[in-house]
Amino acid sequence: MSELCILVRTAPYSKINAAEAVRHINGAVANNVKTSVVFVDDGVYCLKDNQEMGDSGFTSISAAVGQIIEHKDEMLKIYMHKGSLNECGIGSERMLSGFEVVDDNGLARVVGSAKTLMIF
Amino acid sequence: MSKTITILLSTTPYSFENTHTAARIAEAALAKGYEVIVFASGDGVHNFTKEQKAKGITNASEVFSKLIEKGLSVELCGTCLVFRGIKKETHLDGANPSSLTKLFEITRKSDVFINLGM
Repeated sequence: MSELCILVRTAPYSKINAAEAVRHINGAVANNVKTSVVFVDDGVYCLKDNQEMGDSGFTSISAAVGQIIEHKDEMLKIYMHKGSLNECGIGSERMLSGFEVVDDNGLARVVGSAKTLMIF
Repeated sequence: MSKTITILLSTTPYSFENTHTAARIAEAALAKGYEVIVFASGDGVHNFTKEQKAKGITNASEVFSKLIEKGLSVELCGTCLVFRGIKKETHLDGANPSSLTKLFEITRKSDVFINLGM
């Protein structure tokens, strides 16, 4: 059971939500909060690899999430909703790796077992 | 021992109904004797600046000033304040800069946690 579930349901860049989710994930990790992160609906676009920001001034969400995945430990679990990935039409070969794919039941289990839910 | 309700408010005061909703929940919970904390994050910090002149809609600075007088605790994400150039002298009295560390302390002790964002 997680203390905290961070649900990311919006795509990066059109809103600040994805960047705020990344900030709160890092904050939770830094404060030793046992955390589950779920990317669902348009949030799965956060996990698309090779997001190139050019000179836009934006932070690459895929690079930030990739670093989180690379350094995660037993206090942090990361999930992607399978149905949402199927709907967005991006092949899994174009996504980051290092997270668990969950179906509807898995999604419900992760969200339902957390004490606190933050939605971005 | 009273229960603790925390509201995470992350939207601006007048583009969404979240400010009105947060204020009404806080008012009702305070009236029932709950400890109520609003943690303002992202653009939510704009709810807690002084002397807003909004009419015809819930005026954020007015409603939250009254609720602070009734016991509402307000924490403002410090990074979000700096990010937006909001100076301390413009904060409502009783609304103070805070941190993610404090946010996670609050989530641990809260009985109810409500997200009001986009």
